[in-house]
Amino acid sequence: MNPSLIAIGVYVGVLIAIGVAGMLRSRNSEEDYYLAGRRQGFLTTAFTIMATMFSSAAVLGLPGQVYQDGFPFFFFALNLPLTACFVYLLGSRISRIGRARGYVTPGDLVADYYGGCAGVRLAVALCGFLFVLPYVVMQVKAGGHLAMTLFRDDFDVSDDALFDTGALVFTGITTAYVLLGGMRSVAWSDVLQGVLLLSGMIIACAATIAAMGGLSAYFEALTELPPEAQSVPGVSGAWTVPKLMIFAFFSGVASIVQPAQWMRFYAAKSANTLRRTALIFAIVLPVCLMASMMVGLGGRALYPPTVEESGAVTPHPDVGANDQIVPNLMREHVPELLGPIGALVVAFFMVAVVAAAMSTADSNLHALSAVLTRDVYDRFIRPKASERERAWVGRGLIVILSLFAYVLVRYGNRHPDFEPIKMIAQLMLVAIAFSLQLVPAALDVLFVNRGSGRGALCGILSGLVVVFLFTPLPALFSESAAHSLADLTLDLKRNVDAGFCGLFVNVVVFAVVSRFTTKPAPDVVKAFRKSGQS
Amino acid sequence: MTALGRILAAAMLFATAMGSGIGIWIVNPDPADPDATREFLGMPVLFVWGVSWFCVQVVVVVIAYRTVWRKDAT
Repeated sequence: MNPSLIAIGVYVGVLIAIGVAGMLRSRNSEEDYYLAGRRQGFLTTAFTIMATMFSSAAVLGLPGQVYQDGFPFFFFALNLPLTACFVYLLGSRISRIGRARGYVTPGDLVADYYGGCAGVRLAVALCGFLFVLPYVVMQVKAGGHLAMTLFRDDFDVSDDALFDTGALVFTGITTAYVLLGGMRSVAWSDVLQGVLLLSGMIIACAATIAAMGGLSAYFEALTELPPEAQSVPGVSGAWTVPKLMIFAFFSGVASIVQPAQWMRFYAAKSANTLRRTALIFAIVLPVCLMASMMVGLGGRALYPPTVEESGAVTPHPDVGANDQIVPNLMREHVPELLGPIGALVVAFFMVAVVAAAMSTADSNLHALSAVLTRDVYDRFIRPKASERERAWVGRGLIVILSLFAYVLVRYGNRHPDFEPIKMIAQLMLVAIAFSLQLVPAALDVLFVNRGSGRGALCGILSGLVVVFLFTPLPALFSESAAHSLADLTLDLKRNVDAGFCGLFVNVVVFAVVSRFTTKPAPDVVKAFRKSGQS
Repeated sequence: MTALGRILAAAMLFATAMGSGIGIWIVNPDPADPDATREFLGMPVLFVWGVSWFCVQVVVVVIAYRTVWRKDAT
């Protein structure tokens, strides 16, 4: 029997056990289901924040991007120490205010500051939704791809059937343990998944270097890559220096204000917990991400892709798709390098990839269910719903959202031209661009205190519209309009990121509208500042 | 914010800009130039550049952790 199948079976068994343990420890309250009673310690908080951040994009997508383009995307790892600073600076303040005022979702905090403005609450929820959906979709997609890569030789079925089954099983298991124990199960499983995926990346890097003949041979092979792969903007010319810099500065803070991370700040035992988490985050996560990208670079040397005259990059026939460079490299080289132990190492690595995808999918599903229940259902549909009813609605939403993500992924797999669901790394960039639009309002609430509720609302909405126009999503509504837009935005996209364009418009609109509308009363601002600092 | 806090914030932003921003132009080899410097100490020059600035960033975070980021009473 395929050792990977056994390893994944054991892993899934442990996850379900964690789900049940989380359920047995839980109390029947909303705060317990969504925030684990706000008592999460340092290790759990550190691992759940890192595992939520480190998704299938980091394990499959980013090495795939490096494999395609060469060195430029390697610099993406350098935004992580800066992100760690945001974990402390924003996280500790969010944690203090959330604890003092009993908040559960990002919308609770932002909308309450702006006088309970319903529009702001909905806009914050929309930002979260637009971040979470692509993120969950890419994890489910990764589940399908992994099933195809791992079990192609074990089951006599078509690739499509294997992909669909893998994605469905992945969705089912993730949904099951989130439903069982809420935040407690998600966070505990994140500790296991965090250990697996971080060590998996280091092992993959070590195996790649060994397969290439040691460190000297590895670096020698990298110096022999084509000149375009060794310079910025890379083989496809997509990663110019300004774009990389903008991305390094803003992607970290965008990842920190997404609902799943924001709720982890509320769930932390204290601001001290986040201070220590930030230190671990700054050191461990970039090292593991660099290791993951070093595998992509090694893969480029071992399996050179073909570069067409048009600049398009076609993966090596043995690789199949860019996103598959890491699993393929492990499967091809580790067994011949380590003999019988090699199969076990590959099995461990594959579990690590599944862990990376699951740890992000579970956190995001759980957070989105909280956002939709608290910010939409409870406020606008059934304001008098009991806590028990809300908890069950939240669970129902988790099932619906999981199935929706699965249907999207299945459709995308059958229709390869369905633009919104192509490469994993592209989905990640779109999600980050949407999340970035919450940053001006979040910074205003936490530090600046100069904006108004209407300013925040108009800023967020205008930013989201701009990002939407930069993505392949308009093609869903009109092909011709999408082509015209693509022509219009092409030059801008070459040098800056879609999220930054949205952010620029967002900040300008926020500042101008705030100038002419009513700001929160001084006593509200004072109370928030006091909560944030005490 | 304390003076040290300001210095560390500036150092972090500078290291990020140098490591993954405009600083790349200093070492970025021109693909069209066969004589461009592509390696340093046997490694690709961009790799060395990125890892060096990462080390600076980590030092800044460690100093901030030990001096500026305050401990709360739990």
